[in-house]
This record gives sequence, structure tokens and C-alpha cells, in this order.
Amino acid sequence: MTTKIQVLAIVFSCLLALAVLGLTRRKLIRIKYTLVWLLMCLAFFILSLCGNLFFVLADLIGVYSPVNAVFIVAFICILLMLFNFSVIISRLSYANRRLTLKLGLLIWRIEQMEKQK
Amino acid sequence: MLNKALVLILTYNEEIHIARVITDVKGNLPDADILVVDGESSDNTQPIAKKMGAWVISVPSSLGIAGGMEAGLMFACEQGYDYLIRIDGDGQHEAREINHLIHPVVNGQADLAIGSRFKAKESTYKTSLTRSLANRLFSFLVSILAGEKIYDTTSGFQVLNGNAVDFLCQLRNFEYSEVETIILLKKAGFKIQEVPVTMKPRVGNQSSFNFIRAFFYVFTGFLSLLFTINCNYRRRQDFDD
Repeated sequence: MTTKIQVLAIVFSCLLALAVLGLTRRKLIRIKYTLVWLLMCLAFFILSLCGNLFFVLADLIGVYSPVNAVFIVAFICILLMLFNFSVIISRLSYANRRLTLKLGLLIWRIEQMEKQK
Repeated sequence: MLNKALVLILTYNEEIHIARVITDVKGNLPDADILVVDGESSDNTQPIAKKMGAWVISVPSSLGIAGGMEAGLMFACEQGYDYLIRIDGDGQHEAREINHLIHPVVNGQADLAIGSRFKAKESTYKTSLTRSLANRLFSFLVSILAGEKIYDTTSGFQVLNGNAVDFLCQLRNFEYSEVETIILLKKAGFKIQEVPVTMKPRVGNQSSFNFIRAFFYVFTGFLSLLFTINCNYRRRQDFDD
């Protein structure tokens, strides 16, 4: 890894961590999701700092080029996060669906009460 | 005859048919309450239904038929109805056949009675090729999983008794689908019976069921069936209450 890329990667991971912290402070990301992103930033930071880790990683996975090792790890991380978000979206969707139906029923009840007045 | 019955009519832009459907239902079941669950129609479906004396609940159209049915189940559950009769708002089902359909449920022979378009040998009901293929596929799969022949798994003309309604209402994260409901009820030990009914051809606005929708319908239905046989739905009260 060249020093230029190393510096860029370190700066990027720091900026991402700052952005995540900023959004959390403004209550735009919930704490439990902040943790996941901060762990990602930390992993990215450590990998950027210790360039040799890529070679170790490539050896571990069994690929020739360290760049491919980076891609594989990044791909798996993104896939896991997308999977996690699918679970979250499904949960939200179920809750939203139930809430919407309950709201419909409540509006009906209010209409009936108003008619009885 | 009936203790407490709710007729559920699901609608979306059915201003042409809704008045006649409600009149027919009232004529055949004068003591039943009528609930129209409307998917935010852009026409006069809701005002007409209200004028005809039906209760109207509006749910977002994005929730589809499933959302409408879930609203009806929740309503029937909350209000403690003994029977929930579902009939389509497009006028294809004959309201006079409700008395015929409800018979096995009232007599305790069934917890769910399905108004079947295909059971009668002399059935002349014609449907599009995509619908026909989807129906045949689901009929085949559901019959295997349920352990008894079910000819019409996607019928929108049904009667459920209070126990079946309560059971479905208590399931956590339950999304209604006709085929899945049959398997769920069967797995839980409820009795299901098909009653041959006649169905009129659709008049007016066309069905939104095209090839792409049919593909997704079959695909999601097939997946939900696979998961229904393997998953044990947990009751909502274990979590929420």
C-alpha cells in the first residue's frame, strides 16, 4: 500500500467516524447503529494504519493479491450490514403496518363516538 | 339465525358496484353488520358506502388486499364477532350465496368455509391463463400440505368463525394471504370446508393482476407456503401484552 493511499484511507475513516458521531449527537442515528458504524471505522482505520495486515489477510483467505483480500472483506462486511438493515426494515414495516391498521380502526371509533354525541 | 356476524367488503375504486353489493348483502343478511375496508379510493366508494349505512375504514392502498383483510380481522376480533364473512366489493360474488356458504360454519362442521369457484364439476367460471396457472399451482401445493384437496385456494369469498378470527389476530407479524391462512388454520387444527359458489365475470374497471404481478404473487406465495409449514408463529400476546 502506498503512503498516499494509506493517508487517504486514514483520513476517510476518521471523517466517517466524525460524521457518524455528529449524526448521533443530532439524534439522526440511533446509538445501537452508531456502534456498528464506529466498529467499521475502527476496522478500516486499523487496516489503513498497518498496511502489512492486508498481506496477512490475503494469506489467510488464500488469495494472491492483497487488493482482492480487501475487496472480499469489504464485500462481506457490506453484505452483513445490508442483511442487518433488511431485518431492521422488515421489523419497522411490520410495526408500521400494524400501527396504520390500528389508526384506521381508531379513526372509525372516533367517528362513531362523534355520531353518538 | 346468526349471533353476531360481520360482513367485510374490501374495496378500491368500486363506486360502480359498491351500492349494489351492500344492498344485496343487506337483503340476504339483514342482521349482519357491514364493514367496508377501503384502500383510499380516489372515486366515491367511501361516501357511497357510508350513505348505504355501512361502516367504512380507510387503509392505505399500499397495504393491498392483505392489509384490508387484516384490518377486518382486527375489527372482528376487537368487537367480538362470531362470524366474519368476506366478500369482494367488485360484485363478482353473489350475496345470496352467503347463507349457503355460512351453513357449515354455523353448524360447526367448519371453522373456515371457502366459496370455491372450481369445486363444482359443472363450474363454468373462466379466468385468465396466468390466474388459472397460479390457482392450479397453489391448489396442488396447498392440497399436499393441508392433507386434503382444496380446489380454490385464492378465493376472496370466505366465512370464518370467531375462533379462527381470534387465532389469526393473535399471530405476531402475520401478513394475510389466502393460501397461507389455509395452511396456518389447518396446522392449528381448524376445520376447512369448500362450498361451491358461482362467480360472475368482472364488470367495469379491469383487474390489476398482470403477468408481472402474477409472477410475484406466485413467487411470494410459494415462499410463504414453504415458511408456513416450517415456522411456528408465536402469539402476539407473548411479546406485546
